[in-house]
Amino acid sequence: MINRDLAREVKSLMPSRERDTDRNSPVSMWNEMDRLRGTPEETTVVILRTRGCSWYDFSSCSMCGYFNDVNTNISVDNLKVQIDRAYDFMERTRILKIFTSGSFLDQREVPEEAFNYFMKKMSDKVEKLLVESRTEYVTDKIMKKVKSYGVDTRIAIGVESSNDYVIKNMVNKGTTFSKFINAAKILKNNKMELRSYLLLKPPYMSEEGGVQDAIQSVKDCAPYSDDISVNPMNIQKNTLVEKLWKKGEYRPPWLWSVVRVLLETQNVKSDVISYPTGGDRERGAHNDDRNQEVVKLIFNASLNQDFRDLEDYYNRADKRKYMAHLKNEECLPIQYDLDSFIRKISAGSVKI
Amino acid sequence: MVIKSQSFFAYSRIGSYNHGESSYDFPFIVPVGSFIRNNDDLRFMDEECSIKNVNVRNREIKILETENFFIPMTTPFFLKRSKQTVNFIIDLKKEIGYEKLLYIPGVSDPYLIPHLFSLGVDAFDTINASVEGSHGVLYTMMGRLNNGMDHSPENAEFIHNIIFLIKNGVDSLTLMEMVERWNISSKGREILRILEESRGGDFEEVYPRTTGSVIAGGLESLERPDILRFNSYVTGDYKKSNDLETVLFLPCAARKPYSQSRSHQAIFEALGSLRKHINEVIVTSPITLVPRELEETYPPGFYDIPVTGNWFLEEKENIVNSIEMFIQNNQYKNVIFFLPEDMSFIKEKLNIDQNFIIWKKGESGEFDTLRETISEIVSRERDGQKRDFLKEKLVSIAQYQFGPWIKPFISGLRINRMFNQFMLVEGNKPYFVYNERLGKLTIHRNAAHIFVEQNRFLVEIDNFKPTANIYSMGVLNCTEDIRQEDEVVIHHGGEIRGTGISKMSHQIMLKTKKGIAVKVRN
Repeated sequence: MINRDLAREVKSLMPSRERDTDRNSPVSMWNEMDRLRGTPEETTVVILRTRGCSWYDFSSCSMCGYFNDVNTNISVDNLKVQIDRAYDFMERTRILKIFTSGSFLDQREVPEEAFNYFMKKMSDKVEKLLVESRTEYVTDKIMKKVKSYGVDTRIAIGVESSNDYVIKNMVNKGTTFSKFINAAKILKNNKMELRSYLLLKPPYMSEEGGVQDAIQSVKDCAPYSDDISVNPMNIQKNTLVEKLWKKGEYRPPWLWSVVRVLLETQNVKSDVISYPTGGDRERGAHNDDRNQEVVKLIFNASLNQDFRDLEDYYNRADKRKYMAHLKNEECLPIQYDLDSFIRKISAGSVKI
Repeated sequence: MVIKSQSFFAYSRIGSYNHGESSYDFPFIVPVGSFIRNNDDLRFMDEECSIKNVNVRNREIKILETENFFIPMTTPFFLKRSKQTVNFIIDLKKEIGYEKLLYIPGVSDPYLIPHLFSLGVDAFDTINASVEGSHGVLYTMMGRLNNGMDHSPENAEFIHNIIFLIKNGVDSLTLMEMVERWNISSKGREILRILEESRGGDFEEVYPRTTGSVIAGGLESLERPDILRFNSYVTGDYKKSNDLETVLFLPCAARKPYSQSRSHQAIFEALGSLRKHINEVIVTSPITLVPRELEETYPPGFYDIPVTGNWFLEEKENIVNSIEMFIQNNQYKNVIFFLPEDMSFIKEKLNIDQNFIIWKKGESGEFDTLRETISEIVSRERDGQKRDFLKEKLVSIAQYQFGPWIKPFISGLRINRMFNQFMLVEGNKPYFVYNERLGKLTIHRNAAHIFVEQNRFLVEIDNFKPTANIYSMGVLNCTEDIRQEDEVVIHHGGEIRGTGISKMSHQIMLKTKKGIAVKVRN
């Protein structure tokens, strides 16, 4: 389940989690569009500042830099103040997504008192809630408790990949796909909804390998999920992925890859969405030629679950560079950013 | 071990290897789709891969090992720093040896391939050709042309042509010329300089004694191992062949050997028998000084340089330093310079106030001052004895070729002319034959015992009778002085088995079991 060397390396890059950030303010709050009730609606997102994911005590996932936002000295009172602020922030929205740099259902991270305070406070305003959790906190007991507040809740779980080899040797998630299935079954028994997060293109994987892994993972998660969110890698600070990226040994996926995953999984039972963080930027999914249009089309297709415009755009686009990239990566035993390498190596040569 | 045959130029090699029923030539271009991956399981060129850790410069490097290949599992970013490139590949080669081919995926920039080949990379690919091609870059012999069209196929063809040419560079021993000339990328030049400067010692150990050509084009040529060898010999171990106390420095000529040039012929005519009383030394670059008796050897008998009448500062400095050392080492009392105007920097740098005669070519009486100067010096001294120019030449060449140790074994030999060749003979037995075309001596079997006794230029073979070629498989040992293209003595346990020309440097001969180690002379 754990690749010790990988875990050690990821850990070595993590900064201290002692911070003097404001313990009473959430990391961030904003409104965005999502379709948690099956149709596009404005949704509030709040990232609570907590002590962070319990996995951080051991290591971290290779792409996860949310430990940069934690603060080890967050008390229940601090959390309550943050919850009040989140509540006040929700003026016109009735849908809330709560992120925590960890698991909202982990009582070490969000103690029972704060959890109860949250559920009670939000129940009068929030019509649909999404919280995130690792599989281990999705238990019957906790689900019954969540349900007791009567808030329609969807649990989001970071599956990343349905391939245990990828999870162990590339993501360092410290879990397995069967644990996800167990959690999914618990959710189903409790008639709770599930959003599965997948990671497109973990480190040490080729572009094509990443696409195939994501497509397979969508298919594997679909029977258990209400929707599946395909998250193309974005480079976060102090992560292994950032280290590799800085050395030119990692390139975030192409937007064309995101499109391919979406288009090739249209027939699965659950919704498949993607809101690429940092899309069309250096640290996020991007093509060789910068193009905001693709990002917009991906958002809209995801939001409306209508992929016709995206498909049309994709079919008409000139994808020769992308295709060459895929072919060339398959010629390599290890992965690196081919384009960035060639740019650097050809810099000092005669150009006619 | 499935390399069938191979031949070398320094670290570079060409040859063929077997896999299954098929035979492949190298260096070669790895076909697209040669890696087949299934989670941790990887195959390359239809060969199973295993992972091996190798320590290179105190760093653990993961290497894929197959039946025929070593493939480092590193990204090619080391190419960004040329020093790292040179050190990494040379030190890696030291670890992995020559029994398998070295392939480094993704380094095949066409403007660096000859340089990487010089460092010992055996296999290349068209990954960069395809990436750049898809970005609209066309590789041309003058550099990268960007016209926005997809040029992947043309670029792959371009790589194929380079591979074809560098293969020929090994065969004809002209690879160094190619590397010096293939100058589109600054990285290429950096690699060459670092190889010759920082790793010059290692490079010299594998560099052939003679090559196919020395068209010394620029400052890099000053650091070429063959040039350096000659320069350091002339300013170091070289001793004049007689006890004459007068040296005359002359300019070089395009025609080699210089003696056959019109300008040198004119000097000979002008000086006549006065030449008996002086030693002549030719001043040039990048070879700085050539004593007349060594002018037929390699490299002075074979090089060419661009002549403009202008000298680089570094060349000037090299020439001046060499002259100083040369005069001192050989204890010349009288020093005469007869040089063109553009070499008067020597006069200034050495602070010479007399006997620096400017050669005004073509003017009437151009040799008068020179003749008078020499006559005056000669008349002050006793009349010189008879002088044997030929003997001086052969003994001097032998010392350059084999080392100063050989002098006592060769000075007593007599010169004989047989079958239009000059030989050094003992009684009636030929010891060394002078090969005029190559400016070197070949060892006759009769002289082989000298080498065995002195433990020089020896290749020890298994107990067999050598015929045309000795393969490295049959070599038990060899002396460290051996470089590719050296004259060597073949023996088994001290028992002489023949003589020949080495086709590998000692280091490689001992590290590989494939390829011709010595071409035997019959």
